[in-house]
Amino acid sequence: MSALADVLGGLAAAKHGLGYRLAFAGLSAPAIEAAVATVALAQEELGHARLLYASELRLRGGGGEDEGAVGAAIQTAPPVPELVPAPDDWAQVLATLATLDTALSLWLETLAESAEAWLRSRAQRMLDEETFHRDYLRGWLDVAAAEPRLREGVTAGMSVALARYRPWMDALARRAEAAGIAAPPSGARLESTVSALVAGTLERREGNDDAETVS
Amino acid sequence: MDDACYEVLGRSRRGEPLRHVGTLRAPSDALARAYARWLYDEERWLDLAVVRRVHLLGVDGAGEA
Repeated sequence: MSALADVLGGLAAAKHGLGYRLAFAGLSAPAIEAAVATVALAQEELGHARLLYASELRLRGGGGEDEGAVGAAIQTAPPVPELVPAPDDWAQVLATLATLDTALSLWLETLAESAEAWLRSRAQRMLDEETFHRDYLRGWLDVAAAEPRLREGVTAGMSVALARYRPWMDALARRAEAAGIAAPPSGARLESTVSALVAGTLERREGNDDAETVS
Repeated sequence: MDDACYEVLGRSRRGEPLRHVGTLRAPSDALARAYARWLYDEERWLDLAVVRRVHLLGVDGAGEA
């Protein structure tokens, strides 16, 4: 179980870092509505981090149902500045969501098929919330498609972010295989998923001016 | 980025009419739906909907809402 605990710990740290960055990024969102939505999204990511830390502790026999132990794990968790660097602008916030949040959703889909019933239900609960995160991201990518500067920034940011998250995904996948998880999501799968997301949003505008953005 | 104004309507119990709960501004219908979920989450809604304000038709001589 220690390999699976390693995977859960890695995902928890990534969610922790993402929630932390989004909480600050929300303050620089381009509108008050986007600020509220981004901070709410951060709150949900931090909630997922807490649940994943608790799951990791449960597998390690460290009191995953003990609120005090979970709180201590969160407070002493190593920061992940390299994995989730502070975004410089709104385009980088969107690029981080498009890559890291997509990566984390791929992992939750895998955990939702876990042999552990308690882990399956937790993963599904998080996936249900991720549906709204994806809708929010797709809405913003549609907006970026119509704004060349924002689109260029998001595209460049995603390229940099993918170079960061591909090897991270591959390393986690190796630990997952050691835990007996079949076909865990790889860096290549992340890249193809992000490509499909971009094709359906950012690149759609080039040949189609009928997107539903407000004119 | 041009934002439009949306009216937000909600229903918390089956059988109740939709009631006006607020407004928001958004650049697209998709983002208006996402914003509504997080801006008006003080209640557990059975239904929550948004409509662009320009789609409301005035009926008392004002011409538009």
